[in-house]
Amino acid sequence: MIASLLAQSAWVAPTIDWHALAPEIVLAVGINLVLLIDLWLAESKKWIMATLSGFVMLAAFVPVVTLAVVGDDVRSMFDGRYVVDQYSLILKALFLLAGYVVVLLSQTELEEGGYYQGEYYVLLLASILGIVMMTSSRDLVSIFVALELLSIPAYMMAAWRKRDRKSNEAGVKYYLLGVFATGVLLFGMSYLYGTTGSTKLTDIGAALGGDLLALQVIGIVFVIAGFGFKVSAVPFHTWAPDTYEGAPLPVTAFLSVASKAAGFVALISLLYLALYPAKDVYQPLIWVLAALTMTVGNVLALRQTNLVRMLAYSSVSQGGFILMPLAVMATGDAAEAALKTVVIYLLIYAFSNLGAFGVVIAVSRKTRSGSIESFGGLMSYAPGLAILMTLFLVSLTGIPPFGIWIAKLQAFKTLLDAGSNAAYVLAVIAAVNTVIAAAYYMKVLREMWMKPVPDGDITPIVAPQPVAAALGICAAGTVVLGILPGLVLRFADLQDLNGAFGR
Amino acid sequence: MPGSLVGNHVVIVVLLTLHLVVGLAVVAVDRRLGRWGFAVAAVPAFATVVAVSTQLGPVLDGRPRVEEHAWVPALGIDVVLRLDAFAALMMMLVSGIGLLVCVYAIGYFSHPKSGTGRLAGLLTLFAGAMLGVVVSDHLLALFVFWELTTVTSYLLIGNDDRDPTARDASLMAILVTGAGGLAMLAGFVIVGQSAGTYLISELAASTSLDGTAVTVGVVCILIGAFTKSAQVPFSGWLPGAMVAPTPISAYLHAATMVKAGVFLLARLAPALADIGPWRPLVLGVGGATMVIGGWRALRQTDLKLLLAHGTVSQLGFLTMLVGAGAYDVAQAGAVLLLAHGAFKAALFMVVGIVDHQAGTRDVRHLHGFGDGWRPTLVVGVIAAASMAGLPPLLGFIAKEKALDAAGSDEPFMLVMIVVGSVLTVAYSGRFVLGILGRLGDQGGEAVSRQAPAPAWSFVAPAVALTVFTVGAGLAPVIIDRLVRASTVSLYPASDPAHVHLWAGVNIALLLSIAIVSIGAVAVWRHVSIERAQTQFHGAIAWLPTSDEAFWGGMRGLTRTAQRTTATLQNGSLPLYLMVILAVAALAPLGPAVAELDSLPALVGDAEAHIPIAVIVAAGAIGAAIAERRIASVLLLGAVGYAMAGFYVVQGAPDLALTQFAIETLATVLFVLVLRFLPRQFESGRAAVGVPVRLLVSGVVGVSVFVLALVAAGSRSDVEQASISDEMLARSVPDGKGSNVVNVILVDFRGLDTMGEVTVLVVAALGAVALARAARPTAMAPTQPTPSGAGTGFARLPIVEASASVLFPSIVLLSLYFLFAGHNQPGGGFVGGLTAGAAISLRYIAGGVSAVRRSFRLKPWTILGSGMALAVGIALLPLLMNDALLQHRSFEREFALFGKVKATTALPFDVGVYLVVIGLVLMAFEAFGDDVESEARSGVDPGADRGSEPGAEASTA
Repeated sequence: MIASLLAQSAWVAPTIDWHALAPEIVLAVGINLVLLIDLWLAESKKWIMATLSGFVMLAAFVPVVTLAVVGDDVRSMFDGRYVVDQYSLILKALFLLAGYVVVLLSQTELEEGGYYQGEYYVLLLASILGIVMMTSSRDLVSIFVALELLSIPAYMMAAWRKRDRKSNEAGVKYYLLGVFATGVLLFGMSYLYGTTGSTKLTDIGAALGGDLLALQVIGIVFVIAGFGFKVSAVPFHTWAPDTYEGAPLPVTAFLSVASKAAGFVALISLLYLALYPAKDVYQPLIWVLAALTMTVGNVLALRQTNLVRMLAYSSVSQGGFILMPLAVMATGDAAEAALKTVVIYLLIYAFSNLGAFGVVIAVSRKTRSGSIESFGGLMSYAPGLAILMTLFLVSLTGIPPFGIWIAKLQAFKTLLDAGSNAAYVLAVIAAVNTVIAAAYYMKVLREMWMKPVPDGDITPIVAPQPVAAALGICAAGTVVLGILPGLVLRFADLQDLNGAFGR
Repeated sequence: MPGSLVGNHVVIVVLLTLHLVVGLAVVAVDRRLGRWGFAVAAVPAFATVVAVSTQLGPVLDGRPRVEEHAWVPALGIDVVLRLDAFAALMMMLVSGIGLLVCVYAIGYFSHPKSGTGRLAGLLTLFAGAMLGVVVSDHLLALFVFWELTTVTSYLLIGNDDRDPTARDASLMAILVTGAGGLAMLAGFVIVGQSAGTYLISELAASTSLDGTAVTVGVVCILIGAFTKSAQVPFSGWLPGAMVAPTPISAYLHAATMVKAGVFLLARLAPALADIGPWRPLVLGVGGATMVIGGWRALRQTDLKLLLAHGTVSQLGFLTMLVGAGAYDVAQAGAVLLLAHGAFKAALFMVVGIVDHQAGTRDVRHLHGFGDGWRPTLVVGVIAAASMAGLPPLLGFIAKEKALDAAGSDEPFMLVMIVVGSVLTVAYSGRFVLGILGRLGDQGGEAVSRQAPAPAWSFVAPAVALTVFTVGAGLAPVIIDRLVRASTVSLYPASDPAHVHLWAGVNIALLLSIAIVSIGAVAVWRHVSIERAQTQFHGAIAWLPTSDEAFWGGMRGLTRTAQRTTATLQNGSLPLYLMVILAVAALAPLGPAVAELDSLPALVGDAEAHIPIAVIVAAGAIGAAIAERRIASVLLLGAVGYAMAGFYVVQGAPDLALTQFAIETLATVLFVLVLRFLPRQFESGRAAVGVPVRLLVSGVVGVSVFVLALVAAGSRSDVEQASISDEMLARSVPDGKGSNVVNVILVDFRGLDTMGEVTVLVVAALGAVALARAARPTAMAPTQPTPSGAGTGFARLPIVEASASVLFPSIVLLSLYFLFAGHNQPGGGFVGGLTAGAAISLRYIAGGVSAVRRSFRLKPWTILGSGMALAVGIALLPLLMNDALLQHRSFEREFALFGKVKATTALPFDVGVYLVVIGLVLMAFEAFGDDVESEARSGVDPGADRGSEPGAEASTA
């Protein structure tokens, strides 16, 4: 029967654009390479794995650049189910860079902690491959495959500190809640497929044009709930703080940035290409998620005494801000602005948040503590790190001219563009939250700049070279994008997201 | 530098950059510079004064200097720097006083102290940001600079102070002003969007500024300005910020930062003053601030705090003047800006000198000073007189102008000014009495008399400011042009009058005389006033001060945060899951219920449904309340069997068969694993109470029920033809089999099956690997297990006997299922599962060694060969240029058997069969050896995964 079905549709092998797939191919080859080399590598030479993985990321970066240089025509494969366009290229670049930074952050941590190294990098690369695939996936199936490819390694990485109960707890919680969310997501997807007859996003979008069936509404709700887990939107965020705290710090950095951003990427693809007409369903839903996420995340962050946990909650709350424009994306003429905002936000947020975790990694090598108090007097003995941390936190707060302010501004402008009452209310909630967020970010600043050193130990901190390099990349990104946001603003125009509104 | 650059279009940018570079450099070399950092910091200030002076000519003639630089073109944000007369006035104020403060600071920080250099650098950065605020024409660029002043002032106030109050003060300052700044940003965006322009210079011309949104925007902007300029009720931070070193206070709180709010009001008033709440808010808040600030200043014994409250009061005055939106009042505001900058900075400097030399600035400890203090005291008295508005000083001119302008059309403002000014005279007098030592405690030690006189360079800046106060007062012509041009730059249509010292006898003069007289009486009777104040404050002590309100609010917020955290994020996985479950169940419930037009008949034709449903319900409830794990599992099994009963009743024996087999096996495997867990569920205190759990379960149950109804009923809503009909129709012609379920498994959805088989194999391997890792010793395969000794079951002869009889027959049955499966109920999965049941029987009778004996092959060999067979058969057609999994069928007559039909689906099915058997064997291998080892395995992927494909098969 398969044959007869195939015969009906005149099966032809899909043409594969090797250039367009090159980043994924490089990563896939790299994964196998790292895995194989790791098998035969003596324990004393495991440091090679980090370098090698870094090179794999950079090698995958090359075709992304060439693709961007060659031209801006859309490369569409598999009947438009896998698309390489400007939108996906800029995000691929972001994720590869973020992956590279995570490798840099991981290197010393893994070597000094005595963790398994080869396997770690294989998993990290696999996860990055999943994320990179996610940017181009325009089909429920490929989105799901990409999602699992990026999630499953992350479950394991979260528990990488094997002898540590907290790390195990982190991994188990992440895994259990993760598979549960996956189940919800798949359930929704199957309803969408069942009622529209296609897994291709644009086809779904076309089919959702008329009145919605109850099944479709349920499907949409479940799909968004499923991704709500991935982007740790309240109330699906519960795993995040526990996991972030227990997981090794580089993994936490990775989860809070790359993995979360991937969730947003998938959400964007789904919302713009497939669910767009169903705005009466997803707009209120995302509105509630965004409002809850930024508020609850913030309120929880206020009370934290552990810096990593605070950053975890704050990143939950930042997720709310990223969701915010999507809550009004189909109101008025906010669609384009919303897309642009989310992409910009993701880009800058990645740099600032990775940077903040980088500083925590560098400092905790000395203080062996994650508490906010352990940062007391940092300015007096590690001024470089203190200034960098100030930079990242000020950016996260949204104070110009660093990084995120431009994204926050864009988000507010999007809400005003939309111009509905719901949008205004959300803007007010967001403004209040920005202020609350300032309180806890400033608490850390105060600690660093004004408090005495808790244990009086003022030996300077020398950040290991890879960490220093990572911090350099993040700082440059935070400052440059804050001062010259025009560099990236031109990406992510709506026409760059191929197929939006049936185009 | 400026000289050579005049004519270029970058003068202002160069100035701003200079501040940035110098500031960063000084911060960087902090320690090496020490207090001489202020000498470096004076350079940009001086450069600014010179550069602005060279520009004054055209600017005062009404030709502002505009520099445009594209910044974020995509958002339409340009850096438009606009130097008009008002900006020039502010720049002169900011940089002129900045210059003097730098000189003064060199004297002030004569004792080496760490962090002094950094202070100088931060001061320069702050000055740069402040200049940016003044010259930005684009609202968003203005906001950027505005926030930079907030951040730098935060660092300045709290710089290196070991004093916890300093930290609290600086935190409060940044929270209040930062929050206000963000509100202001919201206001900017709203107003900018509504007006269609973000350029202040174009705002006034905009015609679209009305409506609710703009009103909200205006209020937001006012909040920003009020917080920055310490207006009631946000004024608490300014006195708190007095913990900063005095030069910093002199600069931030006399000349610059607090004036940013006033500046913004002045800038926007021409465009926005007519919008709804602007004028009432500005006048009300400004007036209240002026009076309350003055009242508070009267109570202070700390000279610096007296000045701080006085500043709050004066800021209220300024707010009223510049915010009212009338040009003549605004002109008075411009004069007052200059006057206030000059006398307040001088006064702060005097207090700093006193504090520095005498070690105290409390009026109760000052008893007059010795020789060499005369210049300092003269400066203090003159500056205070200017503050009080005595002629012939600049302060007098400003107040006269204000009274004159307000008297004509703003009665409310006039009253507030008069009341406020009386208080101002009174606290100015108090200040003078204080530095002259007249308020010192009786009998206190006269330490201040021994205080060394300050060096001349320390006093010089204050003297310079006082010279300006007197000079501009006597000859207002030197500021006349600047002030008038400023007014015109704000209100282009206006024609402001000249500034005079003597404007003849008019109402303003009479009012002034009255004010000074009453004020003088108040100074004279200061003791009784103090007593009255104490009584009054005793009476209103229950009212929270803004300080208390602020910290109370902060405490409330943290308490809320703590409580929320404790409830929502207590680390309990069940709670997390419950929240998610509840949301996922509730969210779609609404639309789903709406879809249910009518409830379908719950009991169909078959009466047999009722007892089965009862069994299902009873089993489910029993499983939930059972206290022992095994009982729970068995009850779940009962639910499964009952479900199979449904299939039978509905006429789907093959589904039922699969379900039976799956349930049997799953239960056995469950029990196998549960042996390692405690017998009973832990009955410790749960994270969530029973009622809540019941509620959530109920909601989830209802939701699933409704979803099932909706899903079942919505087939008719979907346009596409049903796939099931087509599959039924094509099963025999295309799939060559009349058992549709099997045909679907091996043919229609053969690829799925292949995938599932692969997953099964991987899961089995993983499960065994994990189990082995957890129990390293027990798994040595060579270790002979005494038959039945380690299984934990009692060895019953009857079981053994029946097992040895039953085992071959069940295996035979499974083979029958396998071969007949394509046309009759059965198939590879069912067959494999049946064989699995046989194996478990074997296990019960003889433990794992019996299982091993019955199959000579290693489990993984069976597993692997099954997999290889399935994949091989699937790939075979590719060799013959057919599609993957294309099955062929053969039909031949045999002598003995008659007609035999066979398809290549059979070997594929055999592969599946072998994989399932292999899986079961692996599971026993992994979990089923003995119970001596106490190792426990909590996770049970083997049993879990084992049931999945079967469940899918049953629904396919």
